[in-house]
Amino acid sequence: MILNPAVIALITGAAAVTLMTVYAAFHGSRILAGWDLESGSELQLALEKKTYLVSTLMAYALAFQIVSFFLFVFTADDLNRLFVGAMCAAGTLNVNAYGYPVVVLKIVNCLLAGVWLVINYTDNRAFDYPLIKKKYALLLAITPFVLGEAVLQGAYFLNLKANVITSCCGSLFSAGEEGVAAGLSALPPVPMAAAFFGIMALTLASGAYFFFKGKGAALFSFSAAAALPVSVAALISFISLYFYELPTHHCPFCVLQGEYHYAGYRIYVTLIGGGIAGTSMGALVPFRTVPSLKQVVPRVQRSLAKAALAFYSVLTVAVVARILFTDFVLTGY
Amino acid sequence: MIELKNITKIFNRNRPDECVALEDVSLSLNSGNVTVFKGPSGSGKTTLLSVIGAMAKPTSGRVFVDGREITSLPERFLTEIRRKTFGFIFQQFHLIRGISALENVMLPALTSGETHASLRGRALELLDMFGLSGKTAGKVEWLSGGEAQRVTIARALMNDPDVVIADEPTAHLDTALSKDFLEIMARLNDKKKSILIASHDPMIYESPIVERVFEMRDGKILSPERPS
Repeated sequence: MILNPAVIALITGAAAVTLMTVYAAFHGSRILAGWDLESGSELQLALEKKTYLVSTLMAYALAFQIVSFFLFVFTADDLNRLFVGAMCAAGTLNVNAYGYPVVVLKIVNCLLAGVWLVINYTDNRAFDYPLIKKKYALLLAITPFVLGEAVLQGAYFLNLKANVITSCCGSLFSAGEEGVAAGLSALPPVPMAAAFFGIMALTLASGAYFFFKGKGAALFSFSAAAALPVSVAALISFISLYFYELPTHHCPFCVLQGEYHYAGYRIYVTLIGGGIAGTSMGALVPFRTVPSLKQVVPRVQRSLAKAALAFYSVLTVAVVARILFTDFVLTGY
Repeated sequence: MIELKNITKIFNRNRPDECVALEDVSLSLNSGNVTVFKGPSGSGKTTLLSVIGAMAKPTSGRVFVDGREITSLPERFLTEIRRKTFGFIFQQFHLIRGISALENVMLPALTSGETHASLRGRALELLDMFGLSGKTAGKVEWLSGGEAQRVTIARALMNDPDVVIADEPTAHLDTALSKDFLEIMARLNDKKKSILIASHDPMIYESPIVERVFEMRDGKILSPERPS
């Protein structure tokens, strides 16, 4: 294990989040088993009181969960100088078998945490706890993912051996290699550009339609959620090429470095932010008819639509600006 | 109408100093009545008023105000109910020292969104109603006991609540001031305000304005209820 302040922060943070999540899941299981708003029993009143504490704790824990993704990629990037062969986070993550699964799990957990935070926020706006069982059921479903991430992240950091010679991003994200990363790198740029701009156009158009007309929430949400994986694939396949101005360099992590003005953080923040806002907006669709939420859900959905539109607009503008203002031209690809 | 169903309040649950302040209290209070809860110190009067006024949550049981159940409400909704439905007159007054009587009266309505001028006008009217026109600018620590209590009553009425809750209101007052207090309560009752008073002062529970008296002991309402 490498004793680095960010590593210690991530391990401590994951332990705290896991403890809080497990505690909240235990409380959630009691709510799922015994919640009855009609009852004035001691158990019911105790659950009502405790749910304030638990949902507040979880709001902070899951907010940290989202932030921890960025701290993790920053740490992976920062540690690359300690490993022979690593040039960026791609190499550091490849030092052992746990690195990339942690990244994937962190992205999944970001989305799950975001959806839970939005459902919790919406539930807290009503007087009769209309989503309480659903939000704790979701929390129970999230708990294994949070636990899994903490274990995998711990295993990753504990197994960071400085004598390991790792691969650089040039070989990992090379169209000629095998594996998922290489497969994504090999995706043809032009169709991927069409897919990226197509999904962004659909997302922005359906988002604007929902924002102004209040209709088409499901389409917008689906499109905003789909924009996340499409954009990641597009980043590896063709967007990265414009940042590096090299037709063969597909790394999604070098762009996090100062050499590229930390543009990667802008891309990942907008991607994760847009994905969370869009997915959460869709998650609220079934609750529009709940009597105590009839005023609340449309308001929250509009705010989320606004956020998703803002995030994806910034991403699209950043990509278009890079394509327009670089000397690099993809001719013959 | 206020309805209590099987209210129990236990402090320090499962600790050596556990205290059962209220035990399975159920009662209905009609709107516009003056009701007194009498009983010795420690009988649960203050706790009962706190639970009715949404200042404390019971350990078990439910409270309904005009048919709406309030014990399960999240804190953000309780704040609104405390502000709009109940006006509190505390035994120790709980006026804020260092600011004027006028500012103390205006305080509960400061978050209402009403303009400052309008709030000030209403607060001055209330203070005038209780004969405190000359004391508005003075700091509350300069007031006598009776004046401080009238400021407290004015503050309780600032948001025009339906229910006025008074906890041992005459504990620090002499006979003349206690009579003044009862007159004020009678005037409020004429305006169809419900008045709930916790007191072990005979002047209060034997007063002709009181319509119902509940005797309490050891956290229970003694039955049968004794009319005044």
